Amino acid sequence: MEFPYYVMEFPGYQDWGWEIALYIFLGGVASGALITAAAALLLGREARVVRAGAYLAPVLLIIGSALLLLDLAGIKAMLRALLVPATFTNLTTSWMARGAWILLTTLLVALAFAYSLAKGRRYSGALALLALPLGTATALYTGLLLKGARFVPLWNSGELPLLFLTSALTTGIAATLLLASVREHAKIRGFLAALLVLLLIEAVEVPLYLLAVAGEGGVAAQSVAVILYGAYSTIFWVVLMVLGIIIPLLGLAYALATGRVAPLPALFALVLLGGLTLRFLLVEAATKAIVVPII
Amino acid sequence: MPKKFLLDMYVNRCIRCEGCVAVCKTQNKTPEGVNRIRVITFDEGEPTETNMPMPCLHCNEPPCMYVCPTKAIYKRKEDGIVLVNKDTCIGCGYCLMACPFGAPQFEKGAFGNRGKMDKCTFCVEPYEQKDEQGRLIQLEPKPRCAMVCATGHLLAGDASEISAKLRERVGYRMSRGVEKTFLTF
Repeated sequence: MEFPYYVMEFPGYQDWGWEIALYIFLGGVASGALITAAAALLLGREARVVRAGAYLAPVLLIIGSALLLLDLAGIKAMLRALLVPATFTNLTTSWMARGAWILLTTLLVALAFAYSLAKGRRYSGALALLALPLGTATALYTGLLLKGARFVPLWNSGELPLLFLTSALTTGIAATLLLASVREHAKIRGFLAALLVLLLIEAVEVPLYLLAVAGEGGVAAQSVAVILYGAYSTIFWVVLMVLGIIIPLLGLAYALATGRVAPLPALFALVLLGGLTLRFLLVEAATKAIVVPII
Repeated sequence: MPKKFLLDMYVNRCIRCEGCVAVCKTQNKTPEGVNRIRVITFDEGEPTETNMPMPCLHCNEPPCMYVCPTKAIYKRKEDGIVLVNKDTCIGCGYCLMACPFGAPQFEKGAFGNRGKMDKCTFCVEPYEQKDEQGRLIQLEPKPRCAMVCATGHLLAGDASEISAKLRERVGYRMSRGVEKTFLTF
């Protein structure tokens, strides 16, 4: 059945803003960093990469959770969400309730992982095995959270969690390598190759996602039009596609081919900028569709 | 029996007098910025201009209830009215992103962002009235917006009763050969 859609700004219409966008970005970077660190540990790669990722993840997760709490109704609601375990009970249908528990578990495992690395690597292998699925779950759930908002057509697509997972992995690897600042090319060659492949996937995935959503028509097509050639077009094409994806792609290919490490920190920063822009674009350009009830 | 709002979609009757909005404000004493019912206008200034009052429609399967992380939104078993428990609502705004009608409204919260959710309650606070023996009678909920609606566009009550009423109207118009004038897109 097709609904006619009508877009309208209600007085007092307070949808999700920068807190949620920044949280989705930070949560993605944290889960990507956690996955990178765990994978590096399990594969026996450079110890500085392992430590950088493992220390970065809990810090970012704590900042992100604080942003989520800041978006709530007030001090009482914040304390309630933070301290009362019975708050997030609607596990059968709500991705926010499920996500709160996923986030808490991931944060605890990330803290334990960082602690075990600081204290002589006991149990860190087992914790790394736990961190891999949990990091993936955190990255996927942010997409499912937005997808659960059914009447925002820009988010209502099954590909959104996968897009967020790809972006979480690219930004996570970039942040970890930026923090680790390994100067020897041979030690991070595998990570650079992985980042290159993931950026290639993302370069295809972002336009494909927008085109797939635009195919739905109605408000979805309007939101995509605003991104592709409307108010956000400069940000989308220049900041996200060129600066955030294409220049890092070419730079990484150049660095891998020649073995130079000098431009790498700048490229990692650009990847992070691209991830942040993607989240802000998707949250800011999301127009809600008001459905007209027809009998 | 589920209670429902029903909008007369067959012939557009709403004239945008905003009586429903005003009476809802005075009855429920909602704070500034919270409009439990709103009148929206399509195609303003064009021949197809259409007005429509938009309360919470108390869905059979409310999307807001399904996405609420704290089970603060619930549907009453006895009459199907969707209500929000403000003690457990944390003001996350997920219901706002899920509702197809823009029904969830938000009070002003801390730091100037959204507070707790407030929505149409179908005027469940009962009328209080004394009978001849001085006993208190509690009447069934009757939304004021539907009571003051001047043109009978907004109907409220038991789902079967109001749909029968609407069917009667539509049948009458069809027998007179009145064409559908509303929402032909």
